[in-house]
Amino acid sequence: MKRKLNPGYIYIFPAVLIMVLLIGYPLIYNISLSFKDVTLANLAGNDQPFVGFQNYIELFNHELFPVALKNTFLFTIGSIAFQFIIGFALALFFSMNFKLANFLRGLMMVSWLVPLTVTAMLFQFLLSPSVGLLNHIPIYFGWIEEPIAWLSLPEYAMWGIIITNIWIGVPFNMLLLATGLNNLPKDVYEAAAIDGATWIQRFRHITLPLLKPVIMIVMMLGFIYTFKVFDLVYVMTGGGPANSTQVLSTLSYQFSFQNFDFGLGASVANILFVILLIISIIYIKMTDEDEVAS
Amino acid sequence: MKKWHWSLLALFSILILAACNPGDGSNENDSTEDNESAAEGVAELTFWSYVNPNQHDGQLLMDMVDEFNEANENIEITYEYIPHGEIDQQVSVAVAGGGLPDILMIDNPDHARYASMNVLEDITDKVQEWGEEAQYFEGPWASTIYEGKNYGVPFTTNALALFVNNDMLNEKGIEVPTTWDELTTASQQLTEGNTLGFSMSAISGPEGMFQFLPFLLSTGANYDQLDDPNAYRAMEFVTNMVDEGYMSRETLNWGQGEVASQFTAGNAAMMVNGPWMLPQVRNDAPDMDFSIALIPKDSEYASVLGGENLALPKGDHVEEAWTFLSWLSSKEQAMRFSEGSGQFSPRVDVSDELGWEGDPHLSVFLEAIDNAQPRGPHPAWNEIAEAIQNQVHNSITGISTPEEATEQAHQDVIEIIE
Repeated sequence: MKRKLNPGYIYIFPAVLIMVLLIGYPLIYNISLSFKDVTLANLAGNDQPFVGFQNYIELFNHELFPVALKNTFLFTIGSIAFQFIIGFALALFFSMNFKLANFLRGLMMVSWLVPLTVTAMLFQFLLSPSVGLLNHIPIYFGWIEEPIAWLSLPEYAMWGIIITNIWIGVPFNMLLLATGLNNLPKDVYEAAAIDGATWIQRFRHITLPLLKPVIMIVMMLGFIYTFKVFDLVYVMTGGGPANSTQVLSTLSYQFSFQNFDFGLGASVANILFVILLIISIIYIKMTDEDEVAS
Repeated sequence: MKKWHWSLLALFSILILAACNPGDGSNENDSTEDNESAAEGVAELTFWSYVNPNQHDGQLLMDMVDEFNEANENIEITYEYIPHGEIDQQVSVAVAGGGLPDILMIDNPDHARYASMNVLEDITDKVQEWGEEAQYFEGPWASTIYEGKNYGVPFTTNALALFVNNDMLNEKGIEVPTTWDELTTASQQLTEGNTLGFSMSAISGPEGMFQFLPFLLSTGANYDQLDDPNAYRAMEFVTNMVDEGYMSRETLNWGQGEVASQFTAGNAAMMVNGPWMLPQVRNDAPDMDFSIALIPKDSEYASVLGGENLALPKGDHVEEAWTFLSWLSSKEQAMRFSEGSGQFSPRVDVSDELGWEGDPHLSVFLEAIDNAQPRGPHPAWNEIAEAIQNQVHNSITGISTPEEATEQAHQDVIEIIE
C-alpha cells in the first residue's frame, strides 16, 4: 500500500518548527549545560569540560536542595488546595446567575491582571507586623494578641507567600471552573431534581463527575504554573529568612547568577523540569483512560 | 490539490527565513551590528553603570560622558543604565551571547570575582604607565587587584556609619552611643510605640552581610576568622536587638533603602547606613535634625568599605576605553564628580582639596572610611556572604544559638575558601 502524506502535517509544520527552535533548543542547551563545568570564564567559549553527573551529585549532596524541594512542594500544594476550594466555591456562587454576577466576576479578575511584582510588594505591606492590615484585623477581633511577622519568621514565611499566591490564583481557578459549570447539560439536573435529589447529592453525583475533565485541567495548569514560582519569592523574601522560602527556581538563580556556577544552576532547573514532565505524563495518561472509559 | 499544499509550505518557509534574516531585525539599539557600519574611524563604546540617570549624580556622570565624546572625535561612548541588582545577570547574558560593554561599573566586593572569571582585561601595564596609584586610598585600590594584577580603577568610595535622629535623642536626654552597651541602652530608651530604637538591614546575601560585617569586625574577628572566641558576640548582639524588640523583625527582609525609609518616617531613631543615603534622608525628612556617628564599637571601631570600581571587560576597544577611564579618573574629573554628587572620591588629593573635614556629616564618613576594611577581596565573596548571612538569620530567628550559628558559619566559610 502506498502511503500518502497527510496534508495536515504541512499545516502544522511552521508551528512545529517554531516550537523546536524556541522551546526545544533552550531545553537541550540546558540539559547539556548541566553535564558541564561552566562558569563565567568559559560560558562563551568552547572550552567547557564535560563532568558527567558531577553537578547532579553535588546538587543532591547540597544542604539546600532538600530544603528547596520540600518548600516547592509545600508552596505548590498549599497554594493549589486553597485556590481550588475557594475558586470552586466562587464559581458555584457565580453560576447562580444573579444580577451583577458578571460584573463581580469581572472584578475578581483584577488580582489576576496585576503584575506579580506589584502584588508581591502589596502583600509585603499587608503582612507587615507594624503596618499590615492582615495583622491589624485579627488583632482587632481578638483572634491573635501579638502581630505575626509573617515574612520574617521561618515557620510563617512560606505561608505568607502562599497566602499571596492564593489571592492571585483564585480568579484563574474560578474562571475555568465557571466556564466548565456553564457547559454542563441542564437536563441531567432537571431529571435529578424531579427524582428528588438534594443539592449535595446533585453536586456529588452530577457536578463533580461531569466536571472532572475541567477539574483535572485546572489542577494541572495550576500545578505547573505554581511549581515554577520565582518572582513572588524573589521579591517578597529572596528565599529567606534562613532559607525557609528557598524554592527550586530561586536556588537555580542563586547558583547561576550569584555564584556563576551555571552547570549546577542548570541541573536544578532540569530537576524542576523532570518533575513537571512526570506530572504532565500522569495527566495525559489519566485523560486518555477517561476517554477510553467513556 | 497536492501542489497547492506544497506551495503553501514553501511560502511559510520563505516567511520564516525572511523573519530570521538578521539584516532585517536591526534597530537603533542594536549597537554591535551598527558599530561596523558607523562612521569610519569612530569607535563606539558602551558604558554600563548603575548610577541612575534620573538622579542628580547620574545626570552629572552622563554630562561628563557627553563632554568626553565632544572632546574626542574618534570615540563615542554610550551611557547605559543597568540597575545594580541586574548587573550580574546582564553580564552573564552578555558573556554568553556577546555584547559586553567596554566599560563596566562594579561594586567593589564583586571585582575579584569578575577578574577571576576571566571577563576583565588585565590593565596592569596601562595603570603603571599612568602612575597615579600613589594618589589612591589603599582599601579601594586593593579591591581592583586580583592575583597581583590591576583589573580596574576605583571610582567612588564610602563606608557605613550610624545615623542618629537628634530630636528623639535630645527629647530623652540621651547621648549618642559609642559602644554596644550604650547602643543597647539607648535603643531600649528610644523604643516606644511605633518607634523602634535601632535599625539596620539584615537581608539575606551580600547586602545584609555588608551591614553585619562592621559588627563582626568590631569584635576583632573577620569573615575568615569566625573561630575567634569573640566572633559570636556580633551574632549575639544583633539577635538580642531583635529579641528585645529594639530592632524590627522585618529587618530580615529589609534592604538598606527600606531601612532608610524607616528612619526618615520616624519609625527608627538610629540606623546603620551609608553616605549615599544622605540626599534621600534630607529630601524625605527635610525638618529632621540628624547627625552621623561612627558605628558603636565592641572592642574597636570598625566599618566596611563600599564603593564603585570601573573595569574594562575584554573587547576590541580596550585602548579607547582606557582613554576614557584614565580621563574620568583624573584629579580634575574625579574632583568634579565628587563635588557635584556628594560621593567620596577614592583619590587622596581630591579628598584633601574638597575640605569635607569641616562638614559635620561628611567628616564622620571620612573618618569611617579611614577605619574601613574592604570585603574580601575574595572571588567567592557572594558565597561567603550568603553563608554567613544565613547563619545570622538562623541566630535571629532562634533556629540556632549565636554560638552555634557562628560555629556553623565558620565551617561553611572554610569549606568555600578551601
